[in-house]
Amino acid sequence: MLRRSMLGLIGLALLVGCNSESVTGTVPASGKVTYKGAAVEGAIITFVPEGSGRPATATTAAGGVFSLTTVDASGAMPGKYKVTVDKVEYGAGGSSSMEAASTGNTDEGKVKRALPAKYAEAASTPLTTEVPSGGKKDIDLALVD
Amino acid sequence: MTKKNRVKLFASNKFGFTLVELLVVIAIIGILVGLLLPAVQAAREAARRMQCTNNQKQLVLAMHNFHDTFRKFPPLRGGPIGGDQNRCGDKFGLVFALPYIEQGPRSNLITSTGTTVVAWNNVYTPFLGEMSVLLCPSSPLAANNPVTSNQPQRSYHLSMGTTVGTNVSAAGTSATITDNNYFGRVNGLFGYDKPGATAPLCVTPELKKNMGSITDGTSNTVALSEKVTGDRGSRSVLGLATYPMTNLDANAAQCLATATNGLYNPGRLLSDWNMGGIWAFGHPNWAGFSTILPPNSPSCYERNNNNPSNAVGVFSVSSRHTGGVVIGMADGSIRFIAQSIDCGNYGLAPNRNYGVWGALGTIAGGEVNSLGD
Repeated sequence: MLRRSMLGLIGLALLVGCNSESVTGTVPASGKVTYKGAAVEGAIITFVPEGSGRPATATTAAGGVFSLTTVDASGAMPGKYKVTVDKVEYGAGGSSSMEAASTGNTDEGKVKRALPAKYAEAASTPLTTEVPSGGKKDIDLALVD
Repeated sequence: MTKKNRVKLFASNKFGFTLVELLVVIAIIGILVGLLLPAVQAAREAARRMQCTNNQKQLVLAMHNFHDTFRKFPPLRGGPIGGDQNRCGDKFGLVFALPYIEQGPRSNLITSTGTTVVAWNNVYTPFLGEMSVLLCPSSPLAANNPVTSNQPQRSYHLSMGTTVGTNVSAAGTSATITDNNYFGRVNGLFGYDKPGATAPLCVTPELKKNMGSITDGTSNTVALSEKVTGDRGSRSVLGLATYPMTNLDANAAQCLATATNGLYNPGRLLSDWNMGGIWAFGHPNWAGFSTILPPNSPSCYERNNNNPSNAVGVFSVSSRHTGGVVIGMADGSIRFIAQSIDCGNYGLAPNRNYGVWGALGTIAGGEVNSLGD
């Protein structure tokens, strides 16, 4: 009996030790992003909680699909969110020479956004969504001009 | 079984062990080995971590001795550097504190040969040659350090608190960096120390913060931490930053979306300049860290250039110890913080809250959070 409970304790310790996620209570949340009907790949999505919850983030893959992550745990906390979507077009970056870069005399151009700027900030985004306690797998983010 | 029988039983086994006895002994040995073996395997890393801890202790004490002399802490980066005012304040703070880590000869050389070199100079004698106190042995030296630098690498970095700043260049209005945004308003212990816009530039480091500035208490404020010197050939988040990002000041959490399982996502552009790759260079990527994202998180900056000098961003701490990083507090104590440290809600306005990690970073934030035992 003693031996069995010892084994149980060791097993419990191993389980606790293996759980490295710092966030608990997330539910599965995934969906798709489209801009004027076309799927958007490579956009960074942030779910900004409307209360004091934690933000969930994702980068869209091919086909515009995304699956949210809250820090290191997959999914999002249930609750209401504002959603920001931002995609930066990777131009040819500026010079990497220390001489040029540190004095600021490089022509590195502007960072271009592939999507309307209003979607990039929580203050101006028209997108909102709610993640129910059971999770949501069809979050449809349809962006227009 | 009577007593007589038992005596007889033992007598008959006088010259041998039974199978059961052998099995019991083997089982006990097995358990002992099982207990011992993991300890032996981890012993080397434990020793390396101890040295890493000791180095940080020396560096924090050096800061205190510097403070005793100058009544201020050294800056994250400061002058004097060269004659070009744009390069003013490129030198890492510890360059000024070299005498306090028993590197007096280097310091004397810098003072006597003048200061007309840039911080990334790779032939200037005082900047060359490895200093073991600046290296954490747990983190192997980056094999692919930038070829343009012969300078040794450095594992230890100074706290910039939760300040990100906004980059005029990345926001799209101007392609010229007008000023460094870590100047003057960093809420951590170390900031950019650029002397005033008028002459004399590049003359005296104007050191910004002293013990009195730390109203949160020195035992509640982080001074330095380790970062891995990133391997430029890899896509690891440790010691490498990704670009270009926008809007990091308002939304630092988006940086978390750039990587999966410790590797930057395919397609993301990575800086060509690993963190800590040039020890004497004091720009945030090379010398500072943000107490925003948890240890071993991605780092992001706003500049559209694979060189992050002058760029604002989120620079995360990292280590190759298991599960966290070693940090040096402003009171001289050394702590280990876990990767799961409370970071609040990861910095989204308007409900911004950086938790315990953010509270450790600010010197006068007035937070009630502190690091428990």
